[in-house]
Amino acid sequence: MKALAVGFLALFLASGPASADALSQLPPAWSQRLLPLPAQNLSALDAGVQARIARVRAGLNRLLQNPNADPGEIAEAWGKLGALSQVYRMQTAARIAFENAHRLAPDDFRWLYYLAWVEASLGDYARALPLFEQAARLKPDYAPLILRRADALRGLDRLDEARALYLQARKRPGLEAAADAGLAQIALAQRDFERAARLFDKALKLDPKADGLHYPMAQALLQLGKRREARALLAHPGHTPPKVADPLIAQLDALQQDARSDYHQAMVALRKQDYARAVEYFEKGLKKEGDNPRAAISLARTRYLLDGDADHTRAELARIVQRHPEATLARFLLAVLDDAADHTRRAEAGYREVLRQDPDHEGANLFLARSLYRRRQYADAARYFDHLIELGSENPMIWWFDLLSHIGARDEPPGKIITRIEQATEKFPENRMFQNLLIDRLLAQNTPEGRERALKQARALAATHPIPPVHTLLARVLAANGRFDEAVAYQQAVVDFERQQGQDPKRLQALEKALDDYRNRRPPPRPRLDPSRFQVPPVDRKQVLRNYKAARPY
Amino acid sequence: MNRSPSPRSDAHIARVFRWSLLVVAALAALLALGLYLYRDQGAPKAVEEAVIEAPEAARRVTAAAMEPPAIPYHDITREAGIDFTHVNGASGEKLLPETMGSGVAFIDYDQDGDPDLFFINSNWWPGNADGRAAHSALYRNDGHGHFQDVSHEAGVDLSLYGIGVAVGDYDNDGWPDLYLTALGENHLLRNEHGHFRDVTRETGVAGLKSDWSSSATFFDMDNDGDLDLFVGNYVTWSRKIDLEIDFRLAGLGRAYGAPNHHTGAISRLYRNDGGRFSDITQASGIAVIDEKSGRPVGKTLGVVPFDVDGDGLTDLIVANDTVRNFLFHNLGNGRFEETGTMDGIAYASTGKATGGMGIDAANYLNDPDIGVAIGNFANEMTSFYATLDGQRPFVDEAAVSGLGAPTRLALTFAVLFLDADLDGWLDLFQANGHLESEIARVQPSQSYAQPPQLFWQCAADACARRFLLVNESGDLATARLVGRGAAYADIDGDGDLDLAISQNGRAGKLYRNDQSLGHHWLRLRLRDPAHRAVEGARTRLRANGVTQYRQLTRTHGYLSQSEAVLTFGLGESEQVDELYVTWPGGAEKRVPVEGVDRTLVVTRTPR
Repeated sequence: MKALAVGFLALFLASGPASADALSQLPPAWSQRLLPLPAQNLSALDAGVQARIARVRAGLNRLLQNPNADPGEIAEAWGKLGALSQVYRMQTAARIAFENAHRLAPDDFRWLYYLAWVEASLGDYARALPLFEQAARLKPDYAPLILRRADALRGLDRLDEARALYLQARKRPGLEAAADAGLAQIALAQRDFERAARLFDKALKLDPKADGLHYPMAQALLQLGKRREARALLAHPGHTPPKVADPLIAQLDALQQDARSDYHQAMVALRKQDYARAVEYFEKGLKKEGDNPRAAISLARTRYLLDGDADHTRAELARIVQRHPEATLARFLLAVLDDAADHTRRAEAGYREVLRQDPDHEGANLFLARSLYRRRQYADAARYFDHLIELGSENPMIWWFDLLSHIGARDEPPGKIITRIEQATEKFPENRMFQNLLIDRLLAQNTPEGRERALKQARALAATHPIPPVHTLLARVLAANGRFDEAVAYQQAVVDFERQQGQDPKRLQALEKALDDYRNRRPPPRPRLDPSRFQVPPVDRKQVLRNYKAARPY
Repeated sequence: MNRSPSPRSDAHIARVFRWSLLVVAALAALLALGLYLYRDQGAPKAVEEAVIEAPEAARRVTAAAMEPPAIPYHDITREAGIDFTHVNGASGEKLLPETMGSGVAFIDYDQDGDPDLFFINSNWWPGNADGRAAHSALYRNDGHGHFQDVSHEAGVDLSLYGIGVAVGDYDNDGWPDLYLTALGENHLLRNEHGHFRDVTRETGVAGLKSDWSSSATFFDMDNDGDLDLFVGNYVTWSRKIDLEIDFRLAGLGRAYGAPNHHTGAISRLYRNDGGRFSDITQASGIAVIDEKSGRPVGKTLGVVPFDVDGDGLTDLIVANDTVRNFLFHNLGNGRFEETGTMDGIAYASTGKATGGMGIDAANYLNDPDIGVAIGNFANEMTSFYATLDGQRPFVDEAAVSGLGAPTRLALTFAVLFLDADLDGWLDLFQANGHLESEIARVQPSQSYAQPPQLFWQCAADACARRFLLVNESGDLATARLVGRGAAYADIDGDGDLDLAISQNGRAGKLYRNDQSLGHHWLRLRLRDPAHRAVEGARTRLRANGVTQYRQLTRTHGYLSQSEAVLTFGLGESEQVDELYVTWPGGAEKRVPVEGVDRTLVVTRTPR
C-alpha cells in the first residue's frame, strides 16, 4: 500500500498545472515570429537540473517581455534552452527552442545544426538531411557535417550517396573511424563481407574502444567462415560507437552534468562487470548530488564486488542505515553480511528489523526463514516460508522447505500437511519430489486409508514415469499394502537393471535387501522424515550483493 | 502484490537441495534412467527422411511493374458486425502491461470451412473494475465476411488479463483448440464441437500465477503427430515492482517503463504426451540464463516456428524486447540449441539489441532464402534478417530491402508476410502504435496512433529484393491505429487475404482486401485423416517458372494467429505446373492441380 500511495502522490505532483509564462504564451511582439513552448514536466530530472532549466527559462521569460531586448540575445537564450532540452531528451521542446533560435538568428550555424541533430537523434532522417544540407551551406568547412549527412543518407537507405560522403569524411581528422564504420555497414548490408570485415577492422584499429563494432564485424567474419575470429569479437560485445570529433556536439554533451547521467553510466559499467568504472561513476554522481541513499547502497555493493572488503562494505551500509533508517535494502544487506559471517543472531535481528519496516520484504523473509531452518527452528521458519507463499511465491524450493519446516515443527496434524503437499503437487506437477513426499507422508500415517491413497498415487506416478526410482517406490508402497507379489515383480526388475549397470554396489545391496524382505512378506518400516537431512545453503554474500534486485538502484 | 523471490537466492536453495538429494541417494537412480528407458523401449525408430529436390532459382519478370499496385483494404469492422474493444485497464498508474495490447486469431472453430474471428481481451485492474469485467470475443463468420458474436454460447467469454492467443488441435480430434496467454495463469480451451471447455488443469499448461506470457505457438517439435506448445514469457513483473521503479520521462513525468528495469523471464516448452503436456523447458534448452547474473535472459514478445535449416525439424525464432533475439535450433532429440548470435539474428547491425515485438519468417524470395522480419521500437527500423543462398548466418538487410527508412520512426508490433496482391511474391504488413499516449509532447516525430504499413515486394529484376510502401492501400493508408496484433485470412472466399488488427485500449479492426488486379490464386488446406498435426508441412508450388515455398504454421506476427490455409498468388498464370507437399516426418506427395482460383484440400495418405 505504501508503494501504491507513493505512486499516486508522484502521479498527482507530476500532473500538476504548469504556470504560464512568456514562452508558453508569447507576447504579441513575438507571437507571429516565434513558436510557443509549453512548460515541461521536469519531475524525472535531478533537482539541480530542474533548477538549471528553470533559470534558463526564467531568463528567457524576462527577455521576451523586454521590448528592448536584443534578438541575438534572445536567440542565444532559446538556443541554451534547446540544448538543455535535447540533452535531457525532451526533443519536442528542443525542436521548438532551436527553431526559434534559428528564426531569430538565421545566419547562426549552430541553431540549424542542432535542429538537424534533434531530428537525427529521433531517427527522422528525412527531416534531418535537408537541415544538415542547409547548415552545410552556412558553414561548408564544418567537417562533421560530411559524416552527419552520410549517416542521414544511410538512414534513408540511400547507400550510394552515403558511401560517397563517407569516402570524403574518412580523409578528415577525427572522423576516420566513424567513416570507415559507416562504409563497413554499407558493405555488410550489400553482402560485400570481405570489404566489410576489412573496414570494420580498420575502424577498430583507429578507435579500439569502439566495441559497438564487434558484433557487426563478427557477422561479416561469420559469413566468411571465420568463426574463431568472430567468437573472439563476440566475447567482448559493447555499444560504444567510434568517436567523432564534433565540437558542437561535444558542447551539448558537456551540458549533461547531472548525477543521474553518472548513475546511468555506472549501471552500464556494472552490466559489463567493469566495477572500477562503476564505482567511479557512482562516486561522481554522489559528489554532485550529496546524498542519495539508493545510489550510496549501489556504491557500497559495487565496491564490495571490486575489492571484496566485507568490513568496509559493512561500515558503508551501516552509515547509510544510520542516516536513513528507512533504507530497508541497506539494512537487509547488512544482515546478509552478518549471516555470511555466521553472526546468526545479529543477522536474524537485522532481518526482523527489516520486516518490522516492511513485512513483505521478500529477501528478509526468505533469508530469515533459511536461517531459522538451519537452526532447526522449524516452527518459526515455517511462519516466514508461509508468508512468502502468501505473497505469491511460486518457487518450488520455497514450497518444499515450507513443507519440511511444518513436518519438522510437528505443528500441524498430518491431514493438514497432506493437504499442503497436495496443493504443492498440483501447483508443480513436474516436480516429482512433491509426489514422492506425498506418498511418503501417506505411508507415514500408518492407516489403511493412507496406504491405499499412497498406492493410488504411486501407481499414477509410475504410469507417467516408468523409471527405476519410481518403481522402487511403487514396490515399497505395494509391500506396505500387503501386495508382496506385485512388489517383488517391480523390485526384481529394478534389481536386475541395477545389476546390469553394476555401478553402485551399496545401492544394489539395499535394493536386494528390500527384495528379500518383500519375498519374505516383510512390510517396509514406517517412513520417518528428518528435515535436517535437507540442508539450505550457507549465505553467499557476493552473490547477494551482486544480484539482489534493487527496484531503483539510484 | 505477487512477487517472485530473488532468482539468485532460489538458485542457491536449488543447488543445495540437489545436493541434499544426493544425500538421500536419488541421483544414482536418475543417472541410470536413460539406460533403463533404453532397455525398455529398444532402439529408436528410424525417422522417414524427406526427399528434398535441389531448388531452382526464382525467375523474376523483367518487365514486371516497378511500382506498387493499388491494394485497397477497406475497413469493414462495423458492417461486418465486429464490435470488440480492447480494455487495458489504464487509469493513470502507467503499469507496463497496459502497453502490451492483445492478440487476434482467425480460427474455424465450427469447422464450416470459413475463418471465424477471435479477439482476446485484457481487463480492468482489480480495484478499478467497479464491477466491470472485460471479455474476450468470438465472432462466427457466415462465409461472406459477416460476423455474429457467439462468445457466450461458445464459452470463450472469459474475463482475464489476456495477452496472446494460439490455435491448434492439441488433442487430434479435428477441432481447433484455443490457448490463451495472460498476465497470470494461461488457459487451454478445448473445442468440443464448437463449444470450448477450460482444460488447463488437466493438461498442465497453466504456467505460474507470476508469469506474464506473451506469444505462444503450437508446433510439432518431434514430428510425432501431436502439437507441442511453446509459450513466450516477457518479464518478471508485479504492480509493486512497477510502482517502486516509478519510471519517469523528462517532459512527461510518470511514464511506462522500459523492460530493462525488469528481470527477464524463462519461456516454457510443453511436450504433448497424448493430450497431457509435460513441461520440458529446462531439459530442452529453452531456458536461457545469463551466465554472469544467473538471471533469465529472454524478454519474449514474439515467436515464429520455422524450419531454418531444412532438416524437417521445426525450429523456433524468438523476438525479445531490448535483449538479444533467440534462434532455438531443433536438434531433434527433444533438445534445442540457442544459436541466435552465431546465426546473426541476435542484434541489429549496430550491435545493439532492439525492442523486438512481433516476428514472421518466410521463403520470401521464392527460393530457399529465408527472411525473418521483426517489428521494433520507434527509432529502430524493422529488422529484416535474410540468409544468403539458403545458408545461415543471417544478415540484416533492412537497409537494402527498402524497409529501413520507412519503418524507422514507426513503433511496430505485428509483422506479417502475405501475398496481398496475389502476384506470387510475399509482401509485408506491419501494425504500428506507440506506448505513450502523449509521446508527441517529448518526441515530435512520434504519435500514439500510427498508420499501419503495407510493403509490396517488387518482382521485377530491376528492383528485386526490395519492398516498396503501398500508398494506395485504401483505408489502411489513412488509418491511425494503436496497432498491436494482426492476422490474415480470406474471410469472404474471394481468394485474397483480409486483415484483422487488434489495438491497445481501442476497437479491434477488420479490413477487407478489395484488390481487383485480376490475379489468379490457389489456396491449400492440408488435412490428415486421423487429425494428426500438419503444422510444419512444407510445400512448393511452381507456376509460370516461379517456385513458391511455404511452411504451414498459424503463428505469425504478434500475440496472434492467422488461418491455417496456405494462399499462393499466381499472378497472370492460369495454371499450376507442379505442387508438392512434404508432410511432417518427411513423406512427400505430388499433388495434381486442376484449375486455379479455388481452395484445394490435400489429404495425407494414411500410414
